Amino acid sequence: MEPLSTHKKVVEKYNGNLTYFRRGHYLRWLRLSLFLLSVIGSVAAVMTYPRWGNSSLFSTGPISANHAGFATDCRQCHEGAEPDLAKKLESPKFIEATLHGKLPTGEKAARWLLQKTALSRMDQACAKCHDPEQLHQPQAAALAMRGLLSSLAVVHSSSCSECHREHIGTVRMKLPDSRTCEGCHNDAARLQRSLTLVKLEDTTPPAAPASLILPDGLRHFIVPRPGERRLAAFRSFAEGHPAFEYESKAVKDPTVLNFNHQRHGQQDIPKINGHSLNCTDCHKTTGDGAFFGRITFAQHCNRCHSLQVDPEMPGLTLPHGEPAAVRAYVEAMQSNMRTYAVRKLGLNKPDELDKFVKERAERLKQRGLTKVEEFENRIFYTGDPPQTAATPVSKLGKAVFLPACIKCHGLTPDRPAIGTLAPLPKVTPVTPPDRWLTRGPFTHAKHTHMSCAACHDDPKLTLTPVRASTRTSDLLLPRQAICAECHHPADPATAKPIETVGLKPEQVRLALTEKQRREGGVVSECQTCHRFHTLEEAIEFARPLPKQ
Amino acid sequence: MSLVATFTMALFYVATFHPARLLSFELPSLFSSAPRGRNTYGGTAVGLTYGALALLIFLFASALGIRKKRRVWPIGNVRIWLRAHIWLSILTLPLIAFHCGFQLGGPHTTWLMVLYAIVMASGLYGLVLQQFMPGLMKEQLPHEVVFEQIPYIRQQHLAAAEEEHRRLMTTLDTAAQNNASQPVTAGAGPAIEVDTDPSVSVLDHFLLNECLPYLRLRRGRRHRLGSHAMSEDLFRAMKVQVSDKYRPQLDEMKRWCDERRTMDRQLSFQHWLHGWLLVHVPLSFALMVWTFWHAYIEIEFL
Repeated sequence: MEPLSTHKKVVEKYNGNLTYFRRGHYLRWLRLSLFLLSVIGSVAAVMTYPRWGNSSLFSTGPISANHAGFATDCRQCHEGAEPDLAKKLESPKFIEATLHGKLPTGEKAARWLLQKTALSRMDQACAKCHDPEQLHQPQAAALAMRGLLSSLAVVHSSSCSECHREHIGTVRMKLPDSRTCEGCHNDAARLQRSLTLVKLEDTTPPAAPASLILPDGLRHFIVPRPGERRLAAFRSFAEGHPAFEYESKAVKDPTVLNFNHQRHGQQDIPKINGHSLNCTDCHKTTGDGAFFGRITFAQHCNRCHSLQVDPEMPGLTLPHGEPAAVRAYVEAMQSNMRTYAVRKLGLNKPDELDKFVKERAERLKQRGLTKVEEFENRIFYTGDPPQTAATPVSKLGKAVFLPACIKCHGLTPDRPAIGTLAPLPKVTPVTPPDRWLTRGPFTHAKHTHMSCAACHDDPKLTLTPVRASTRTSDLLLPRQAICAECHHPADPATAKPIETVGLKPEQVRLALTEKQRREGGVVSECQTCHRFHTLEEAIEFARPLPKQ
Repeated sequence: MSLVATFTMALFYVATFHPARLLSFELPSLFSSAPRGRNTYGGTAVGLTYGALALLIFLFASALGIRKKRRVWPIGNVRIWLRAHIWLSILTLPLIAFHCGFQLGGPHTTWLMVLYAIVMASGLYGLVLQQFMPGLMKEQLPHEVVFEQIPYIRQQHLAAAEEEHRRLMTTLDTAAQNNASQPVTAGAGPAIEVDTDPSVSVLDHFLLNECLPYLRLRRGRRHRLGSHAMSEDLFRAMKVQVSDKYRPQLDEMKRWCDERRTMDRQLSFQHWLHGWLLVHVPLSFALMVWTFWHAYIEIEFL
């Protein structure tokens, strides 16, 4: 090709078309046409939106079944929202604001925008149908025990919709899961910012752990709470969750009773119904299996620790409970023997009865029991035969036949008074708690596959293992860590199914327990134990709390 | 700069929506006072800030066209504007991603995202083309003409070819007439023809059947003269058939075809180089319109 190296040749080439730049090129025309088409088309689409679209266009997801009744009416929740821009521009309010410069600008506009992100307007819409509950209110259990607390922790939640997420699916809205709680409870700074401790007046917090009757009519194990306690941030129930309050070393079982769990687990204890004494011989669940019933002398202790007066008269037993009743029983001993002879031995002739009573009274006399005071001393304080250094304590019916009250109970005075028919001692009431875990909805019913020892006799994770407990004041409760062994998400990579072939039901249960303790996988949502909103009756208490 | 900005944005994003992943970083209270709500990220303070920043960048990016038209305005040279246009637009990638929380949302926001994706993809495509196309053009188009003059020059070549065809036809006609006017003597044997160079006929035939159709075509790439190798072969073969007298005409034809081929290639390069703007520019402004509407809708529905 001949080179176009000279201006002359270039000019020759273009000569006759030197005004080309004044004419539009097709590419420019095309670009302009497309530009106008896209801009005008877009503006037209925006302005005519009601003709071709509906509000579902802006929906970030389907409406749940809870709100399906007004799913197409966005304004039910998004109050005042007007997606139609043309309509908005025509509204007199907007025109007036535009003409008179009343639209927010600068910092004011930024603040206005940020206020909108607080979702308060949305909460107002929720409150049209739902009870307004603006607070992350104290747990219902804490409210129920408010008379025993010095302060209550109150947290201001930012919004209903922060936890109750809409536009997720068409099924019913799921209750908030642990992730919503983690938003705050994983963040120490946020916790500190949002928490308010409200001091309670006219309350009487217990100075020491106590077993107190709460409005539900049950005895609860109450552990004193530090006044300025602030919750630390943590990741999950298995990672960093605070220890249960009763895990403090200072916390003891307040029950006034001398009971030795260790002793009752030893092999020389007489068998019950052909088997060694085990937990369930005394600890029996109530109807629904959630909790254990109270242990009573008559039902549980009496089988071994009978208050039988005479070894040869089974059934002739002292009353358990009131010292006055004991005194009355002893004072009417001969009459009681006579009744015993009639009912148990079938004697009904006066001379036979007289003879029987005389013989038994003679036996009592041989044991040194001639006076009421002597009887009472042995019943209340020394046992029968009386305990001395030479006759060591044994409850196996060998050395001591009749155990003294003071062996198990607290008596005032704690030693016999000198004199005839001294005032009766006072027995300290035995008030073991009916509920040990008052903060969460623990139930034994869901743990029936586990052995008692799994939680209450773990050498490391039980506060005091049952087999090592020699005092009633020992707390035999599991630490939080033992709960977290099972209650944490399982790792699907390492989880293995248990082999049940050829195993007895008891062995299957044990295998399941071991698997759960090893791998976890048992529900560990915050809501399993805690509630965000309080019970209806508690809201009345929460409402007057000062606003922050 | 962009990396630092992206890192900072990512930090704020994670601190707002995944605070557990950060050990000790705490958001300024302005942001943390409005935690994430509902099923969106864009409605939060951090999300709104990112969205607003992206919108501002969109506005700035769209102003590049105006800056190019008004070159004498003292607001920085076009090169700087173009660089800012490119880098700030790239910065919108993390901004938009953090604004929407890596989710498409509803139909409206999905449509916005599609528009944004097309605009960004076409922009990045154009950016890549701008990197190597000028070099390629310099290499393959040694005699580049003014792009807008191409139709005019093509017309000139066509006109010249048609003129050449007419000239050759005239020569052939004249020769035929001369042959016809020669007297035929009885018994003198066959008539003596006028000595006409067969090159004229060959040239005209080639011009009529190859060159002119090629020069008339709107797109000549599929014609055999549109191929450099085939064109060279054809003209080499023609050179053998044409006498020296008519070689200049043949060379002229070859020049027309070569220039036409070069212009076709230049046209193709130009379409590659600027064609993406047909998508990028109109959709950028469409994106602006839809983004403004999106902002309005989101504020309304907050």
